[in-house]
Amino acid sequence: MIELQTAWGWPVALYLFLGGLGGGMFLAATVLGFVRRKRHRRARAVSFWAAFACVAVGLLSLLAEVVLPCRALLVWQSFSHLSSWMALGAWGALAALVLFFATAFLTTKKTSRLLSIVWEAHPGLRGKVRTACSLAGLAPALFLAFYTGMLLRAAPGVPFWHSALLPCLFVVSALGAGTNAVTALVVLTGGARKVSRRRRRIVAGVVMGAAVAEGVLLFLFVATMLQGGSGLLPTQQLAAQTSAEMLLSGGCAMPFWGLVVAGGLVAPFVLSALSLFVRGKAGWRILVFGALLTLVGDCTLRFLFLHVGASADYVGQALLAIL
Amino acid sequence: MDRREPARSVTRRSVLAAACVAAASATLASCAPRDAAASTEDPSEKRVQYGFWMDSRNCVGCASCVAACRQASGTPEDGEARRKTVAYRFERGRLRFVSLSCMHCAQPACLAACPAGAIGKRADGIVVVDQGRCIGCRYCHEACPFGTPHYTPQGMDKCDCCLGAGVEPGREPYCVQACPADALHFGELEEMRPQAEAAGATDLLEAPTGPSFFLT
Repeated sequence: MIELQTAWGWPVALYLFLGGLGGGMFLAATVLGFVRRKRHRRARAVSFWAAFACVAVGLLSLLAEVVLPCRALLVWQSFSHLSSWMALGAWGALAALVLFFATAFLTTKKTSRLLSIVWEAHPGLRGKVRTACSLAGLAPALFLAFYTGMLLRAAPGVPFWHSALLPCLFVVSALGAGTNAVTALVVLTGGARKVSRRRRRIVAGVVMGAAVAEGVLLFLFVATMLQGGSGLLPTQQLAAQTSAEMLLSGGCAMPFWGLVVAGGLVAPFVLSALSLFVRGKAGWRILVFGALLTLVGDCTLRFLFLHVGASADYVGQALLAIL
Repeated sequence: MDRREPARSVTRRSVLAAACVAAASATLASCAPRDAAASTEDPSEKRVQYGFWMDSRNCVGCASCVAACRQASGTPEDGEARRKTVAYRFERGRLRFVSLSCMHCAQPACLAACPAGAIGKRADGIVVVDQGRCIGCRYCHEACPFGTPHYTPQGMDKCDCCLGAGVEPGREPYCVQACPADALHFGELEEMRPQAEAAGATDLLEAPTGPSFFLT
């Protein structure tokens, strides 16, 4: 009998989303800092703090799910088995927390003033340390986006998750969500006022490109699972197909088509295209609304993927062969 | 002649500093990683693989194995047992019962997935969990193709072939002893193979992790 997995609930789904979003936001904010060095400082600072908060809240959510959270806090002991993706992810998330915090601290004027004695004694040091932290943070940021997909892929108990496309999809999704979130923050912090229309078109293009890339990967992933996924055994293929059918036409069809596809991919694409033809603040507002819709879609994607994960029935398959 | 008071060698500051150093040392000592349970093998032990043979032709689904397992492992009635019986219904009214527990796989996915190194495979092939290391993240449950690991307030729990109940490795666990229908068997896989094949088994149960389990 194929059974849906019930061991991991919404806290893990939330962790998968927030971990990827935090990594994506840090990446996007760092790139923005290099492209537009002196502009959007406030938006970048808010983005770095938001990235830190995402990872922190995600880890707390994960901690709430484990049976023995106090023991889990002894990281050097409880995550010492480095052949496990969960152990690697824990260390990656810790590195991200430290570097995201340091970058946010140094980017924000009010907080970096706390060390004004140091900066005054060493002119130029703050900028160098901030640059070093943001560059060093790129690796854990990218790792977070990748690892959230690998954590599921490396669990052979659920054939629906066992595909190389899953970490690719999660990386693209996380980068897209991060870019869209930073775009929204730029507008919300008033940084968009002096941005030219040409640059707004570039941003709209990035949002549309992210939606297309994620849509293509999602289509490929679901199509692969409908064909049985990467499993060699009939029961594995049946489990993968069952999960995919739940998404497309079963109990999860409405949130999948409504929130993930229509809300998270199609609507942002259309709204971004529409913003190209609308001038001024209205154009930005349309763009930001579309960007925020992708966050809803990406979050729903993780929840649904976790929910429809089903185990194969190897015993049932063997009995069928016997009988 | 002025008598100066001797300089104090112990001041409040030095006591506080020493206390901080002592606390830090104790913390660091307790944090030193213990040997991972993943390496529970004694190199001098002969490598064998113990496993189960389930003859579903004989099983009547009485769940005596489950009751014996509960009693031996001290699992409360309202807790999930380490062993379960599953009924499979096929067309033309055919019904088969199967008694299932940990498969003690050749390549345990749970062992690879565990971030704390709490799961180990002994030289006799029995897969065991060290509840003293387990954090209960449930990744082993997601990794296991059979969904075997379950969780108690102490951490992950699963079949250990009654090692914890005092049964010597290789001797029959209580579930096998309790089976009234001669459906559940335990032993070294290669020793059971001729009998299992005579009963119709072509090979071990087919699954990605190499379960140590014959099914007929």
